Amino acid sequence: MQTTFSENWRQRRVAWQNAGLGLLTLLLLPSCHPAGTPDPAGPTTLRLLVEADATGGWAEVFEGFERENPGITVQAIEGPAATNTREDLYVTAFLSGGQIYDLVMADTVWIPKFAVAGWLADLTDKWSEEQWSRFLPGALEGSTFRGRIYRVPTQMDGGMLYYRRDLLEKAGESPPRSFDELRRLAWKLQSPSRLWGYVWQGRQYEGLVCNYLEVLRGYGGFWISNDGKTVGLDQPAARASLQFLVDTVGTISPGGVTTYSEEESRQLFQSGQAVFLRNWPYVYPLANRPDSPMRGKVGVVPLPAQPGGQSSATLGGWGLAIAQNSPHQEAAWKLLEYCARIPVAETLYRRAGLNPTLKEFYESSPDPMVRDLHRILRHTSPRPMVPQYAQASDILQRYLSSALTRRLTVPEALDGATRETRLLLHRP
Amino acid sequence: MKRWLFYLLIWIAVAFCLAPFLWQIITSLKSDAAITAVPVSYYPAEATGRHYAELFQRKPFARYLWNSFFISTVSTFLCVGFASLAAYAIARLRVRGSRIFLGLLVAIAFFPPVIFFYPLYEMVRATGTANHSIALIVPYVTFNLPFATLVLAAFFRGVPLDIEEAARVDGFSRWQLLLHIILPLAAPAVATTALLTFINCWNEFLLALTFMTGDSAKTVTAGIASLSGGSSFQIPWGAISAAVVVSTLPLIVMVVLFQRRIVEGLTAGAAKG
Amino acid sequence: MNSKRSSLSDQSFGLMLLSPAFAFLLVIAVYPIFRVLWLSLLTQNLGTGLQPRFSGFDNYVRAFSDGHFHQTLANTCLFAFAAVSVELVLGLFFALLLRRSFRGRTAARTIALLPWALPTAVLALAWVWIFNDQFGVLNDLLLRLHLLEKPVAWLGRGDTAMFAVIFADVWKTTPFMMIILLAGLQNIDRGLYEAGRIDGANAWQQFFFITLPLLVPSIMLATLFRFLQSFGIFDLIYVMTGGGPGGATETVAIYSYNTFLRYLDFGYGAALIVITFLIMAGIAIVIYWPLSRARGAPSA
Repeated sequence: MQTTFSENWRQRRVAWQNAGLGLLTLLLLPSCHPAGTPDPAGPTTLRLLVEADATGGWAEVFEGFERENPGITVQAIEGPAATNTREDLYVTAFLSGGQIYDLVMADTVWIPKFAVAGWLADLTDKWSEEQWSRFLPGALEGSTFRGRIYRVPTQMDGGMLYYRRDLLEKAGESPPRSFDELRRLAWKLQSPSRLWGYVWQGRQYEGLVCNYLEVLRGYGGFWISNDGKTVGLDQPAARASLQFLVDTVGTISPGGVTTYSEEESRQLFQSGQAVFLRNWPYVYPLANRPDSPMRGKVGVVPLPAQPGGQSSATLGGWGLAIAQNSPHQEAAWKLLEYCARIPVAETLYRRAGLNPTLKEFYESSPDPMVRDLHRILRHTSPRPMVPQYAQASDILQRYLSSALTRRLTVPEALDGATRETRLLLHRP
Repeated sequence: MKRWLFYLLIWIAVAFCLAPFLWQIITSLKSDAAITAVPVSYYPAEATGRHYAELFQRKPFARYLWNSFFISTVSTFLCVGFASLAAYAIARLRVRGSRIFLGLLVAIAFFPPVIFFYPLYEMVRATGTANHSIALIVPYVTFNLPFATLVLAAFFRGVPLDIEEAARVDGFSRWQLLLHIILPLAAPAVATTALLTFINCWNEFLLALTFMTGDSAKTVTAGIASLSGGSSFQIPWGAISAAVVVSTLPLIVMVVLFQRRIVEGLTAGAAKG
Repeated sequence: MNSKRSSLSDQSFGLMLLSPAFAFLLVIAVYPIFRVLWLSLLTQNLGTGLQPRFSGFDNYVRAFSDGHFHQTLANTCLFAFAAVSVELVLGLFFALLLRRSFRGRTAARTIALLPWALPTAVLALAWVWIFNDQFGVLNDLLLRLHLLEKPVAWLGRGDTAMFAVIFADVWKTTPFMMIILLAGLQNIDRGLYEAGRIDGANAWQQFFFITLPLLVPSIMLATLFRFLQSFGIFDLIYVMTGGGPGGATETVAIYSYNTFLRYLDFGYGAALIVITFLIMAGIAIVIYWPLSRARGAPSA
């Protein structure tokens, strides 16, 4: 959509800057595809980097927006599927100071870092408090850093406990409410039937932190306080919760659980080889697909909690933020407003299987699956909103994994994690 | 060596190298349900070409292939060309300044590629060459220079001096000597270097991902990395395997072509010897 | 020396030959290298609001007492030495096999190069599933062959995980070693073997007294570049284990990449890179200097 003039100009600049390679440049011109820079006179193009849109859900949303707002086009560049890699691409683009992306499709854990770096526009005052409160509390909390809001949450996830309804009913048991009960039931139901009692995600990666946080909160502990100053990993709750996970390995969970991410654990459960599974909402429709052996046999409940602890689901979630250096602040905000509407939420849920963040969506739905989801997503808690999150998480992952694979004892691992995390948070 | 033992060893070596690739082919032909079935099935019960069809329908995969091919070919050509010249100078001529050159060459090889990533990005932005093949070609040529130059230099040293003397007596100019005598003699090394350089370029990932974000500019590796499943947790195994198979076929063709050059080079050398 | 070849024309002709490659090196390499050196003397991170602040050798001092950095260095050394030595033996073995003429040699050589041609990141993803304890192919095969009694979670223990990533790397890069050695083997004059046979040398003696000594330049080059590559190993391990379990497979390249781009701790990340460079250069000099002197300096 750019004029031939600007294209010409760019090519000439290239040729000039590579003077020594002039001939080469000529050779290359036929395969030249300059990225579209917005032409100030022409229509506005909003650019953002997203995961490939395999279901077409987002494409439908963006088309609807473009129809409603002639003159604005949304250019969703399909980046790598790996979240970390997309984060790195955004970071590189912003570090270089270029106006490359107008919007950021941002993961919860990026918000503090991007906000401190000054890459995101502060959206707090765009809406009244009442308007912001249309979102589920967890989703909003995961968009907030030091009291300011930096993104409009569009989709969210939370950890939940899947269980084999058929097996529990046959044994006359109800789903567990505490971790002790979970262990007892897993042990009881796995024994004669050669199943695994409980599968979860224990590989050294971000998902391990999500798993651990849920147990930790269930035992009444915390990792890093909200102000980002206190580390709670050396307290008894932290030890008890990690001990719970360590004890599952090789007893109610397969030894390989320390190498699993989401898909390995889902497959074990979905092929009928496990009683309980901790995973995200995406498993629900898959486990109930016509070709799934577990169709109709699966129930979900919020994760358990010990007395004195709190059942909690780690928030995973995405939302749209506006790049601070984008020249199209107004157009970008229009898109964000558009994405916070119920019909958009419905489109994304129906077509792409993304769980909306708007309270109204859940409150008005008669679908039992949506109601199940609501019970869980109502109580999501974000991971610590600190700028050094990436490193804090890496430290915790490493020590958790050390304990799970018995390279370190539980107290050794947690003391090490505490020491390194404190050092990190207090480093100038 | 006993004949049967020799063939047994060959078969073991071939199986060792081939197995994972065969596995990719099998996976690419299975349905999604069969891929994740437990226990593992070693052959697709009913083969499907769906993953291949989707590859070209959903994404401009042919375009990715062409981009990779174009960029890798130009880079290889330039890299091996420049490296041959430099290698000859290093191996046969006394040039003041060649030590600086060698130092720089080795330094590049020793620094982890990660450090070039961000400064290169700055350069690409400053020159406005993002999404332009030159943004990859220039670094690809550079990063493959150390290996290509040192390998070629080692081989040029192996070319007997008296051949050069004889050619010079016959009235060959310096350029003729280099192009018509030395390079053909070093053909196995040139072919080997070119092949490895081509594969390196074809499979480079980090820079391609960062500099080529537009769909019409992406290379195959960046294209494969952006394949995604039904949800962000699922891995689209079928599509990925199909993509790997498709993107490896051109390389297999290249290897077959270059193999022939390597063998020819060998016989040419033997005739001289 | 031929009288027609004056040293002046050697000089200008040589410079002419060097200049294109030189230009590329200058354009691409010099600025990044100096930038990293300078950056390593600054503190520039989230704590300073990404603003640079000169801090002398603080970053180097910090690296000196960073236990995690030492751990990743040790992992990297173990990985690099194990992987490169196995690859050398295997690569040499493959090269010697494929050097002989037999029917189907071109096909066998092509197949032998396949692993090098496949994209690492994708293969790494496949390896994770191959090594899976419940439905991985490896366990399935070993159980069927009765080599294992119960499935092993290969990536779930420090030592087996390190073994797994080395195995995957050896599989991937042996062809690189092989093809360079193969090219080297072809430069060996067949006449030498004839002479050897006449003198009554057996196959082993031919290998140790003819093949191996003449192959030393190729071996040095191949192992040097493989050493550099494996010291900078990144994507294979990043995808296979994420550095786990418990950091047992995390390499220095992963740590410095994370420090730089994910933790945004630029100064420290740069210092880690410089230190790694110095260590690599040190190791390379210790190993290759005596060899190259013994052989009259075939390369740098």
